[in-house]
Amino acid sequence: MSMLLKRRAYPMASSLLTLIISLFSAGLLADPNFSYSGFGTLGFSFEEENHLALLRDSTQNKNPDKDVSFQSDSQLGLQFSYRFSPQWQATTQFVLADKVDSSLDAATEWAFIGYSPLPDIDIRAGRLSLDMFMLSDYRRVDYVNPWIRPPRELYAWITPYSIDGVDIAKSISTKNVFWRLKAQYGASQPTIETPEGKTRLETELNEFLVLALTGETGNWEGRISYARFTTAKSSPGFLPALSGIGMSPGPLGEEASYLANTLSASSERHVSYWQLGAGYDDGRWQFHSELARLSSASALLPTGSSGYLSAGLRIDDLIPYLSYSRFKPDRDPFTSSADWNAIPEISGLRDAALGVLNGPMINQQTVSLGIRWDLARRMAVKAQWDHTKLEANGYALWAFDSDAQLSDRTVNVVSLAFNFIF
Amino acid sequence: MRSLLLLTILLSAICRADIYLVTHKHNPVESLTEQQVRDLYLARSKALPNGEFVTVFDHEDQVLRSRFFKALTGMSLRQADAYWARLIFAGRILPLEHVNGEAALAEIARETKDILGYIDKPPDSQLLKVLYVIQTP
Repeated sequence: MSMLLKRRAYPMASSLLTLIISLFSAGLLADPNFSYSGFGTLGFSFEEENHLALLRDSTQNKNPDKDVSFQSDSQLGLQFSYRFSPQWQATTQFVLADKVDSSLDAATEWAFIGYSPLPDIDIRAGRLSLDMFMLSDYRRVDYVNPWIRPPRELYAWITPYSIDGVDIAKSISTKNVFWRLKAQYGASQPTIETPEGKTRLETELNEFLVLALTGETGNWEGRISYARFTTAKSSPGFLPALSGIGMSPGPLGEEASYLANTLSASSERHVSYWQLGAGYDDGRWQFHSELARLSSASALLPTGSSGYLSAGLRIDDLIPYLSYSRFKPDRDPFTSSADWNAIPEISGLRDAALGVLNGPMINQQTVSLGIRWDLARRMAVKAQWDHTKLEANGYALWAFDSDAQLSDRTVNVVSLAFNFIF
Repeated sequence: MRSLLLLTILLSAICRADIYLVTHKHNPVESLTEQQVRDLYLARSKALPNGEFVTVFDHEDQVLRSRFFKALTGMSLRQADAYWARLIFAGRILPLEHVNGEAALAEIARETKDILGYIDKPPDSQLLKVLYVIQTP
Protein backbone atom coordinates (compact mmCIF):
# COMPACT_ATOMS: atom_id res chain seq x y z
CA MET A 1 0.00 0.00 0.00
CA SER A 2 2.70 2.43 0.97
CA MET A 3 4.73 1.74 -2.15
CA LEU A 4 1.66 2.22 -4.29
CA LEU A 5 0.98 5.59 -2.77
CA LYS A 6 4.61 6.56 -2.81
CA ARG A 7 4.91 5.99 -6.56
CA ARG A 8 1.66 7.65 -7.37
CA ALA A 9 1.66 10.64 -5.09
CA TYR A 10 4.99 12.15 -6.06
CA PRO A 11 4.09 12.58 -9.74
CA MET A 12 0.74 13.85 -8.49
CA ALA A 13 2.44 16.50 -6.39
CA SER A 14 4.80 17.55 -9.16
CA SER A 15 2.17 17.63 -11.87
CA LEU A 16 -0.03 19.72 -9.61
CA LEU A 17 2.89 22.02 -9.05
CA THR A 18 3.38 22.31 -12.81
CA LEU A 19 -0.31 23.03 -13.20
CA ILE A 20 -0.22 25.74 -10.56
CA ILE A 21 2.90 27.34 -12.02
CA SER A 22 1.50 27.36 -15.55
CA LEU A 23 -1.78 28.80 -14.30
CA PHE A 24 0.16 31.37 -12.35
CA SER A 25 2.17 32.47 -15.37
CA ALA A 26 -0.99 32.82 -17.44
CA GLY A 27 -1.93 36.11 -15.84
CA LEU A 28 -3.73 34.32 -13.07
CA LEU A 29 -3.47 37.04 -10.44
CA ALA A 30 -6.35 38.88 -12.08
CA ASP A 31 -8.54 35.77 -12.07
CA PRO A 32 -10.96 35.88 -9.10
CA ASN A 33 -10.91 32.07 -8.98
CA PHE A 34 -7.25 32.10 -8.08
CA SER A 35 -6.23 32.90 -4.53
CA TYR A 36 -3.01 32.96 -2.61
CA SER A 37 -2.30 33.21 1.11
CA GLY A 38 0.74 32.91 3.25
CA PHE A 39 2.06 32.70 6.77
CA GLY A 40 5.40 33.14 8.37
CA THR A 41 7.42 33.35 11.54
CA LEU A 42 10.73 35.00 12.19
CA GLY A 43 11.80 33.36 15.40
CA PHE A 44 14.73 33.34 17.75
CA SER A 45 15.38 30.95 20.62
CA PHE A 46 18.09 30.61 23.20
CA GLU A 47 19.12 28.02 25.81
CA GLU A 48 22.36 27.57 27.71
CA GLU A 49 22.67 23.78 27.88
CA ASN A 50 25.73 21.83 26.83
CA HIS A 51 25.25 18.95 24.40
CA LEU A 52 21.55 19.72 24.09
CA ALA A 53 19.60 21.90 21.67
CA LEU A 54 15.99 22.91 21.18
CA LEU A 55 13.92 21.41 18.37
CA ARG A 56 10.53 22.70 17.33
CA ASP A 57 9.89 19.24 15.90
CA SER A 58 11.79 16.09 14.97
CA THR A 59 11.98 16.84 11.24
CA GLN A 60 14.59 19.55 11.87
CA ASN A 61 18.35 19.38 11.51
CA LYS A 62 19.92 18.47 14.82
CA ASN A 63 22.98 20.14 16.27
CA PRO A 64 23.37 19.54 20.02
CA ASP A 65 26.05 22.22 20.35
CA LYS A 66 23.83 25.04 19.15
CA ASP A 67 22.47 27.30 21.90
CA VAL A 68 21.12 30.18 19.82
CA SER A 69 18.83 29.47 16.92
CA PHE A 70 16.95 31.38 14.27
CA GLN A 71 16.07 28.13 12.52
CA SER A 72 13.95 26.38 15.11
CA ASP A 73 10.84 28.54 14.69
CA SER A 74 11.45 30.58 11.53
CA GLN A 75 9.42 29.48 8.54
CA LEU A 76 7.55 30.75 5.53
CA GLY A 77 4.49 29.16 3.95
CA LEU A 78 2.86 30.03 0.64
CA GLN A 79 -0.47 28.62 -0.38
CA PHE A 80 -2.07 28.78 -3.81
CA SER A 81 -5.58 27.72 -4.68
CA TYR A 82 -7.68 27.62 -7.76
CA ARG A 83 -11.42 27.22 -7.75
CA PHE A 84 -12.61 25.47 -10.91
CA SER A 85 -16.22 25.59 -9.73
CA PRO A 86 -17.96 25.86 -6.34
CA GLN A 87 -17.45 22.09 -6.14
CA TRP A 88 -13.90 21.60 -7.46
CA GLN A 89 -10.66 23.19 -6.25
CA ALA A 90 -6.93 22.57 -6.21
CA THR A 91 -4.63 23.76 -3.44
CA THR A 92 -0.91 23.57 -2.91
CA GLN A 93 1.22 24.79 -0.02
CA PHE A 94 4.98 25.20 0.02
CA VAL A 95 6.85 25.61 3.28
CA LEU A 96 10.40 26.80 3.73
CA ALA A 97 11.64 25.79 7.16
CA ASP A 98 14.52 24.01 8.80
CA LYS A 99 14.06 20.46 7.52
CA VAL A 100 16.46 17.52 7.21
CA ASP A 101 15.10 16.95 3.71
CA SER A 102 15.41 20.21 1.79
CA SER A 103 14.06 18.94 -1.54
CA LEU A 104 11.17 20.54 -3.41
CA ASP A 105 9.21 17.40 -2.67
CA ALA A 106 9.62 17.95 1.07
CA ALA A 107 8.81 21.65 0.69
CA THR A 108 5.53 20.71 -0.98
CA GLU A 109 3.57 20.06 2.15
CA TRP A 110 0.25 19.98 0.34
CA ALA A 111 -0.89 19.40 -3.20
CA PHE A 112 -4.43 18.19 -3.46
CA ILE A 113 -7.63 18.29 -5.45
CA GLY A 114 -10.77 18.97 -3.43
CA TYR A 115 -14.26 18.00 -4.47
CA SER A 116 -17.62 18.54 -2.77
CA PRO A 117 -20.22 16.19 -4.28
CA LEU A 118 -22.76 17.61 -1.83
CA PRO A 119 -22.66 20.87 0.13
CA ASP A 120 -21.91 19.00 3.37
CA ILE A 121 -19.32 16.53 2.00
CA ASP A 122 -15.66 17.37 1.27
CA ILE A 123 -13.34 14.91 -0.41
CA ARG A 124 -9.63 15.61 -0.94
CA ALA A 125 -6.97 13.54 -2.67
CA GLY A 126 -3.25 14.10 -3.06
CA ARG A 127 -0.85 15.36 -0.42
CA LEU A 128 -2.89 16.47 2.60
CA SER A 129 -2.20 17.94 6.00
CA LEU A 130 -2.10 15.10 8.53
CA ASP A 131 -5.07 15.92 10.76
CA MET A 132 -3.87 14.02 13.81
CA PHE A 133 -4.53 16.38 16.72
CA MET A 134 -6.41 19.65 17.32
CA LEU A 135 -3.73 22.01 15.94
CA SER A 136 -2.27 19.64 13.34
CA ASP A 137 -3.88 21.32 10.33
CA TYR A 138 -2.23 24.66 11.15
CA ARG A 139 0.60 23.79 13.52
CA ARG A 140 3.02 25.87 11.46
CA VAL A 141 0.72 28.91 11.38
CA ASP A 142 1.92 30.49 14.60
CA TYR A 143 -0.20 33.61 14.13
CA VAL A 144 -3.42 31.66 14.78
CA ASN A 145 -2.03 29.86 17.83
CA PRO A 146 -1.46 31.55 21.18
CA TRP A 147 2.13 30.37 21.78
CA ILE A 148 5.55 30.65 20.15
CA ARG A 149 5.09 27.04 19.02
CA PRO A 150 2.51 24.29 19.68
CA PRO A 151 3.23 22.56 23.03
CA ARG A 152 6.20 20.33 22.20
CA GLU A 153 5.13 17.48 24.49
CA LEU A 154 2.15 16.88 22.20
CA TYR A 155 3.39 18.08 18.80
CA ALA A 156 7.18 17.98 18.49
CA TRP A 157 7.40 14.19 18.11
CA ILE A 158 4.86 14.06 15.25
CA THR A 159 7.16 13.77 12.24
CA PRO A 160 4.75 13.92 9.30
CA TYR A 161 3.14 17.25 8.48
CA SER A 162 1.35 15.69 5.55
CA ILE A 163 0.32 12.35 4.14
CA ASP A 164 -0.21 11.17 0.60
CA GLY A 165 -3.72 9.82 0.46
CA VAL A 166 -7.36 10.77 0.65
CA ASP A 167 -9.78 12.18 3.19
CA ILE A 168 -13.49 12.67 3.42
CA ALA A 169 -15.38 14.96 5.79
CA LYS A 170 -19.06 15.31 6.57
CA SER A 171 -20.44 18.48 8.16
CA ILE A 172 -23.58 18.55 10.26
CA SER A 173 -24.94 21.90 11.36
CA THR A 174 -27.57 21.62 14.06
CA LYS A 175 -29.22 24.48 15.89
CA ASN A 176 -26.56 24.64 18.60
CA VAL A 177 -23.58 22.65 17.45
CA PHE A 178 -21.55 22.40 14.25
CA TRP A 179 -20.21 18.85 13.91
CA ARG A 180 -17.59 17.60 11.51
CA LEU A 181 -16.68 13.98 11.04
CA LYS A 182 -13.54 13.20 9.09
CA ALA A 183 -11.69 10.11 7.95
CA GLN A 184 -8.22 10.21 6.46
CA TYR A 185 -6.05 7.47 4.97
CA GLY A 186 -2.60 7.47 3.45
CA ALA A 187 1.11 7.12 4.03
CA SER A 188 4.10 9.32 4.75
CA GLN A 189 7.88 8.98 4.52
CA PRO A 190 9.44 11.73 6.63
CA THR A 191 13.22 12.01 6.84
CA ILE A 192 14.67 12.62 10.28
CA GLU A 193 18.08 12.57 11.92
CA THR A 194 19.54 10.62 14.79
CA PRO A 195 19.64 12.68 18.04
CA GLU A 196 23.20 13.94 17.57
CA GLY A 197 22.47 14.93 13.95
CA LYS A 198 25.05 12.74 12.26
CA THR A 199 22.92 10.15 10.48
CA ARG A 200 19.82 10.50 8.37
CA LEU A 201 16.91 8.12 8.85
CA GLU A 202 14.32 7.53 6.17
CA THR A 203 11.16 6.58 8.03
CA GLU A 204 7.91 5.14 6.77
CA LEU A 205 4.48 5.52 8.28
CA ASN A 206 2.20 3.17 6.40
CA GLU A 207 -1.55 2.55 6.40
CA PHE A 208 -2.08 5.79 8.29
CA LEU A 209 -5.71 6.13 9.36
CA VAL A 210 -7.21 9.10 11.21
CA LEU A 211 -10.81 9.32 12.42
CA ALA A 212 -11.84 12.62 13.99
CA LEU A 213 -15.02 14.17 15.31
CA THR A 214 -14.98 17.90 16.03
CA GLY A 215 -17.72 20.06 17.48
CA GLU A 216 -18.08 23.84 17.71
CA THR A 217 -20.66 25.66 19.79
CA GLY A 218 -20.55 29.30 20.81
CA ASN A 219 -17.09 30.00 22.17
CA TRP A 220 -16.24 26.32 22.56
CA GLU A 221 -14.65 23.74 20.33
CA GLY A 222 -13.96 20.10 21.09
CA ARG A 223 -12.42 17.16 19.39
CA ILE A 224 -12.02 13.41 19.84
CA SER A 225 -9.90 11.39 17.48
CA TYR A 226 -8.21 8.09 16.85
CA ALA A 227 -5.20 7.57 14.63
CA ARG A 228 -3.06 4.59 13.80
CA PHE A 229 -0.32 3.59 11.43
CA THR A 230 2.10 0.73 10.81
CA THR A 231 5.84 1.17 11.15
CA ALA A 232 8.17 0.11 8.36
CA LYS A 233 9.99 -3.19 8.17
CA SER A 234 13.24 -2.30 9.88
CA SER A 235 16.25 -4.03 11.31
CA PRO A 236 19.35 -2.32 12.70
CA GLY A 237 22.62 -3.44 11.09
CA PHE A 238 24.00 -4.74 14.38
CA LEU A 239 21.02 -7.05 15.04
CA PRO A 240 22.58 -10.27 13.67
CA ALA A 241 25.68 -9.79 15.84
CA LEU A 242 23.52 -9.05 18.88
CA SER A 243 21.41 -12.16 18.19
CA GLY A 244 24.62 -14.13 17.88
CA ILE A 245 25.70 -13.11 21.39
CA GLY A 246 22.19 -14.00 22.50
CA MET A 247 23.00 -17.66 21.75
CA SER A 248 25.68 -17.74 24.43
CA PRO A 249 24.75 -19.05 27.90
CA GLY A 250 24.59 -16.96 31.07
CA PRO A 251 23.36 -13.44 31.93
CA LEU A 252 25.16 -11.83 28.99
CA GLY A 253 23.45 -14.16 26.50
CA GLU A 254 20.06 -13.65 28.15
CA GLU A 255 20.37 -9.88 28.03
CA ALA A 256 21.61 -9.82 24.44
CA SER A 257 18.80 -12.13 23.41
CA TYR A 258 16.21 -9.94 25.17
CA LEU A 259 17.50 -6.76 23.49
CA ALA A 260 17.64 -8.50 20.09
CA ASN A 261 14.10 -9.85 20.46
CA THR A 262 12.78 -6.45 21.50
CA LEU A 263 14.34 -4.89 18.41
CA SER A 264 13.05 -7.61 16.09
CA ALA A 265 9.57 -7.28 17.56
CA SER A 266 9.57 -3.53 16.80
CA SER A 267 9.40 -3.94 13.02
CA GLU A 268 6.07 -3.54 11.16
CA ARG A 269 4.06 -2.74 14.28
CA HIS A 270 0.84 -0.83 14.78
CA VAL A 271 1.03 2.49 16.60
CA SER A 272 -2.20 4.01 17.88
CA TYR A 273 -3.23 7.35 19.29
CA TRP A 274 -6.33 8.43 21.16
CA GLN A 275 -6.85 12.15 21.56
CA LEU A 276 -9.26 14.47 23.37
CA GLY A 277 -9.13 18.23 22.98
CA ALA A 278 -11.04 21.35 23.97
CA GLY A 279 -10.67 25.03 23.25
CA TYR A 280 -12.45 28.15 24.49
CA ASP A 281 -12.20 31.76 23.34
CA ASP A 282 -14.70 34.42 24.32
CA GLY A 283 -12.59 37.27 23.02
CA ARG A 284 -11.22 37.85 26.52
CA TRP A 285 -10.31 34.47 28.02
CA GLN A 286 -8.65 31.70 26.06
CA PHE A 287 -8.26 28.09 27.20
CA HIS A 288 -6.77 25.19 25.31
CA SER A 289 -6.21 21.65 26.42
CA GLU A 290 -5.45 18.31 24.80
CA LEU A 291 -4.75 14.84 26.08
CA ALA A 292 -3.34 11.98 24.06
CA ARG A 293 -2.50 8.36 24.68
CA LEU A 294 0.13 6.75 22.48
CA SER A 295 0.57 3.01 22.39
CA SER A 296 2.52 0.51 20.35
CA ALA A 297 4.23 -2.84 20.54
CA SER A 298 7.22 -1.17 18.86
CA ALA A 299 9.95 0.07 21.18
CA LEU A 300 11.24 2.45 18.51
CA LEU A 301 8.60 5.13 19.06
CA PRO A 302 7.66 7.28 22.02
CA THR A 303 4.69 5.79 23.86
CA GLY A 304 2.83 6.99 26.92
CA SER A 305 0.49 9.83 27.86
CA SER A 306 0.78 13.40 26.82
CA GLY A 307 -1.16 16.59 27.34
CA TYR A 308 -1.22 20.29 27.94
CA LEU A 309 -3.34 22.94 29.58
CA SER A 310 -3.08 26.60 28.62
CA ALA A 311 -4.82 29.82 29.65
CA GLY A 312 -4.55 33.32 28.25
CA LEU A 313 -6.25 36.63 28.98
CA ARG A 314 -6.68 39.33 26.37
CA ILE A 315 -6.04 42.86 27.64
CA ASP A 316 -6.44 45.14 24.63
CA ASP A 317 -3.65 44.16 22.24
CA LEU A 318 -1.81 41.98 24.74
CA ILE A 319 -2.40 38.37 25.73
CA PRO A 320 -0.29 37.07 28.60
CA TYR A 321 -0.51 33.27 28.77
CA LEU A 322 0.56 30.39 30.96
CA SER A 323 0.73 26.73 30.02
CA TYR A 324 1.76 23.40 31.42
CA SER A 325 2.55 20.40 29.27
CA ARG A 326 3.83 16.95 29.98
CA PHE A 327 4.85 13.70 28.35
CA LYS A 328 4.86 10.68 30.61
CA PRO A 329 6.30 7.46 29.13
CA ASP A 330 4.53 4.15 29.72
CA ARG A 331 7.71 2.13 30.07
CA ASP A 332 11.02 2.26 31.90
CA PRO A 333 14.23 2.79 29.98
CA PHE A 334 16.09 -0.33 28.96
CA THR A 335 19.09 -0.93 31.19
CA SER A 336 21.95 -3.33 31.25
CA SER A 337 23.04 -5.45 34.25
CA ALA A 338 25.17 -8.12 32.56
CA ASP A 339 28.91 -7.69 32.27
CA TRP A 340 29.55 -6.78 28.65
CA ASN A 341 33.00 -5.43 29.36
CA ALA A 342 34.45 -8.95 29.49
CA ILE A 343 34.74 -8.71 25.71
CA PRO A 344 35.54 -5.08 24.79
CA GLU A 345 34.38 -5.45 21.16
CA ILE A 346 30.82 -6.23 22.15
CA SER A 347 30.15 -3.49 24.68
CA GLY A 348 29.64 -1.18 21.68
CA LEU A 349 26.77 -3.45 20.59
CA ARG A 350 25.07 -3.02 23.94
CA ASP A 351 25.43 0.76 23.73
CA ALA A 352 24.04 0.77 20.19
CA ALA A 353 21.06 -1.36 21.22
CA LEU A 354 20.31 0.78 24.27
CA GLY A 355 20.70 3.93 22.16
CA VAL A 356 18.15 2.73 19.61
CA LEU A 357 15.70 1.56 22.28
CA ASN A 358 15.99 4.52 24.68
CA GLY A 359 16.61 7.26 22.11
CA PRO A 360 12.94 7.64 21.15
CA MET A 361 11.75 7.95 24.77
CA ILE A 362 10.25 11.21 25.97
CA ASN A 363 10.00 12.06 29.66
CA GLN A 364 9.59 15.74 30.44
CA GLN A 365 7.29 18.49 31.66
CA THR A 366 7.29 22.15 30.79
CA VAL A 367 5.85 25.32 32.30
CA SER A 368 5.65 28.15 29.77
CA LEU A 369 5.00 31.79 30.45
CA GLY A 370 4.59 34.17 27.56
CA ILE A 371 3.01 37.25 26.12
CA ARG A 372 1.53 37.95 22.72
CA TRP A 373 1.20 41.44 21.30
CA ASP A 374 -1.08 42.00 18.31
CA LEU A 375 0.83 44.95 16.96
CA ALA A 376 -1.16 45.31 13.74
CA ARG A 377 -3.79 43.50 11.74
CA ARG A 378 -2.49 39.99 10.91
CA MET A 379 0.80 40.52 12.74
CA ALA A 380 1.84 39.48 16.21
CA VAL A 381 4.96 39.52 18.33
CA LYS A 382 5.48 36.93 21.06
CA ALA A 383 7.96 36.36 23.84
CA GLN A 384 8.04 33.12 25.81
CA TRP A 385 9.98 31.46 28.57
CA ASP A 386 9.92 27.67 28.83
CA HIS A 387 11.09 25.88 31.93
CA THR A 388 11.47 22.17 31.23
CA LYS A 389 12.18 19.39 33.68
CA LEU A 390 13.84 16.65 31.68
CA GLU A 391 14.34 13.09 33.00
CA ALA A 392 17.24 10.81 32.14
CA ASN A 393 16.55 8.68 29.05
CA GLY A 394 13.66 10.88 28.00
CA TYR A 395 15.39 13.33 25.68
CA ALA A 396 13.76 12.61 22.32
CA LEU A 397 12.32 16.12 21.91
CA TRP A 398 15.83 17.60 21.82
CA ALA A 399 18.97 17.27 19.78
CA PHE A 400 21.48 15.63 22.13
CA ASP A 401 24.80 13.83 22.34
CA SER A 402 24.30 10.25 23.47
CA ASP A 403 26.03 10.67 26.86
CA ALA A 404 23.99 13.77 27.68
CA GLN A 405 20.74 11.85 28.13
CA LEU A 406 21.99 9.83 31.08
CA SER A 407 21.11 12.47 33.67
CA ASP A 408 18.09 14.52 34.75
CA ARG A 409 18.24 18.25 34.15
CA THR A 410 16.20 21.40 33.90
CA VAL A 411 16.34 23.52 30.77
CA ASN A 412 15.30 27.12 30.30
CA VAL A 413 14.49 28.33 26.81
CA VAL A 414 13.81 31.95 25.93
CA SER A 415 12.14 32.64 22.58
CA LEU A 416 11.03 35.66 20.59
CA ALA A 417 8.97 35.55 17.42
CA PHE A 418 7.29 37.74 14.87
CA ASN A 419 4.26 36.10 13.22
CA PHE A 420 2.26 37.18 10.20
CA ILE A 421 -0.37 35.95 7.79
CA PHE A 422 -1.53 37.39 4.51
CA MET B 1 -43.47 36.54 5.14
CA ARG B 2 -42.22 38.50 2.19
CA SER B 3 -44.14 41.65 3.12
CA LEU B 4 -42.93 41.28 6.68
CA LEU B 5 -39.38 41.19 5.36
CA LEU B 6 -40.02 44.29 3.27
CA LEU B 7 -41.51 46.06 6.25
CA THR B 8 -38.49 45.12 8.33
CA ILE B 9 -36.21 46.47 5.66
CA LEU B 10 -38.11 49.73 5.41
CA LEU B 11 -38.33 50.27 9.13
CA SER B 12 -34.77 49.33 9.80
CA ALA B 13 -33.50 51.51 6.98
CA ILE B 14 -35.02 54.45 8.76
CA CYS B 15 -33.92 53.58 12.24
CA ARG B 16 -30.34 52.36 12.14
CA ALA B 17 -27.27 51.33 10.18
CA ASP B 18 -28.35 47.81 9.35
CA ILE B 19 -26.51 45.31 7.15
CA TYR B 20 -28.25 43.73 4.17
CA LEU B 21 -27.51 40.23 2.90
CA VAL B 22 -28.17 40.25 -0.82
CA THR B 23 -28.30 37.82 -3.72
CA HIS B 24 -29.33 37.84 -7.37
CA LYS B 25 -32.91 38.98 -7.90
CA HIS B 26 -33.79 35.75 -9.73
CA ASN B 27 -32.34 33.45 -7.10
CA PRO B 28 -35.26 31.19 -6.05
CA VAL B 29 -34.37 31.60 -2.37
CA GLU B 30 -36.43 34.39 -0.81
CA SER B 31 -35.02 34.63 2.70
CA LEU B 32 -32.40 33.26 5.08
CA THR B 33 -32.43 32.77 8.82
CA GLU B 34 -29.73 34.26 11.02
CA GLN B 35 -28.24 30.81 11.56
CA GLN B 36 -28.11 30.10 7.83
CA VAL B 37 -26.25 33.38 7.26
CA ARG B 38 -23.89 32.59 10.15
CA ASP B 39 -23.19 29.09 8.82
CA LEU B 40 -22.38 30.51 5.37
CA TYR B 41 -20.02 33.18 6.74
CA LEU B 42 -18.29 30.73 9.10
CA ALA B 43 -17.84 28.24 6.22
CA ARG B 44 -20.01 25.71 7.98
CA SER B 45 -22.30 25.57 4.98
CA LYS B 46 -21.65 25.94 1.27
CA ALA B 47 -25.19 26.04 -0.05
CA LEU B 48 -28.38 28.06 0.13
CA PRO B 49 -31.45 26.37 1.65
CA ASN B 50 -32.51 25.16 -1.82
CA GLY B 51 -29.33 23.06 -1.95
CA GLU B 52 -27.51 25.13 -4.58
CA PHE B 53 -23.81 25.83 -4.00
CA VAL B 54 -23.36 29.54 -3.39
CA THR B 55 -20.34 31.81 -3.78
CA VAL B 56 -20.04 33.93 -0.65
CA PHE B 57 -18.46 37.40 -0.81
CA ASP B 58 -16.86 39.39 1.96
CA HIS B 59 -16.55 43.20 1.99
CA GLU B 60 -13.47 45.35 1.54
CA ASP B 61 -14.56 47.91 4.13
CA GLN B 62 -12.92 46.84 7.43
CA VAL B 63 -15.31 48.92 9.57
CA LEU B 64 -18.31 47.27 7.96
CA ARG B 65 -16.66 43.84 8.23
CA SER B 66 -16.04 44.44 11.90
CA ARG B 67 -19.72 45.37 12.52
CA PHE B 68 -20.89 42.46 10.39
CA PHE B 69 -18.90 39.72 12.14
CA LYS B 70 -19.59 41.16 15.59
CA ALA B 71 -23.34 41.27 15.02
CA LEU B 72 -23.53 37.90 13.28
CA THR B 73 -21.06 35.79 15.25
CA GLY B 74 -20.11 37.80 18.33
CA MET B 75 -16.49 37.68 17.16
CA SER B 76 -14.18 40.65 16.96
CA LEU B 77 -12.61 41.18 13.56
CA ARG B 78 -9.35 39.78 14.92
CA GLN B 79 -11.09 36.61 16.05
CA ALA B 80 -12.98 36.32 12.77
CA ASP B 81 -9.77 36.76 10.76
CA ALA B 82 -8.02 34.14 12.88
CA TYR B 83 -10.99 31.79 12.51
CA TRP B 84 -10.88 32.15 8.73
CA ALA B 85 -7.08 31.85 8.65
CA ARG B 86 -7.37 28.51 10.46
CA LEU B 87 -9.85 27.22 7.88
CA ILE B 88 -7.80 28.48 4.93
CA PHE B 89 -4.50 27.15 6.21
CA ALA B 90 -6.20 23.87 7.10
CA GLY B 91 -7.06 23.54 3.42
CA ARG B 92 -10.75 23.39 4.24
CA ILE B 93 -11.98 26.43 2.39
CA LEU B 94 -10.70 28.98 -0.12
CA PRO B 95 -10.42 32.61 0.98
CA LEU B 96 -13.54 34.68 0.32
CA GLU B 97 -13.27 37.29 -2.36
CA HIS B 98 -13.59 40.77 -0.86
CA VAL B 99 -15.73 43.12 -2.95
CA ASN B 100 -16.23 46.82 -2.67
CA GLY B 101 -19.95 47.22 -2.17
CA GLU B 102 -23.10 47.04 -4.17
CA ALA B 103 -21.78 47.97 -7.62
CA ALA B 104 -19.21 45.17 -7.52
CA LEU B 105 -21.82 42.64 -6.40
CA ALA B 106 -24.23 43.78 -9.12
CA GLU B 107 -21.46 43.30 -11.66
CA ILE B 108 -20.90 39.73 -10.43
CA ALA B 109 -24.67 39.14 -10.51
CA ARG B 110 -24.60 39.67 -14.27
CA GLU B 111 -22.68 36.39 -14.52
CA THR B 112 -24.25 34.16 -11.88
CA LYS B 113 -27.24 34.07 -9.60
CA ASP B 114 -25.83 31.83 -6.86
CA ILE B 115 -24.09 34.56 -4.89
CA LEU B 116 -24.33 36.03 -1.41
CA GLY B 117 -22.85 39.32 -0.25
CA TYR B 118 -23.54 42.06 2.28
CA ILE B 119 -23.88 45.82 1.96
CA ASP B 120 -24.64 48.66 4.37
CA LYS B 121 -27.87 49.91 2.78
CA PRO B 122 -30.78 48.41 0.85
CA PRO B 123 -29.67 47.68 -2.73
CA ASP B 124 -30.47 50.19 -5.45
CA SER B 125 -29.53 47.73 -8.18
CA GLN B 126 -32.38 45.97 -9.98
CA LEU B 127 -30.19 42.84 -10.08
CA LEU B 128 -30.03 42.35 -6.31
CA LYS B 129 -32.53 41.47 -3.61
CA VAL B 130 -32.37 41.22 0.18
CA LEU B 131 -32.40 37.81 1.90
CA TYR B 132 -31.77 38.89 5.46
CA VAL B 133 -31.22 42.06 7.47
CA ILE B 134 -28.82 42.19 10.39
CA GLN B 135 -29.83 44.88 12.83
CA THR B 136 -26.74 46.44 14.33
CA PRO B 137 -26.60 49.00 17.11
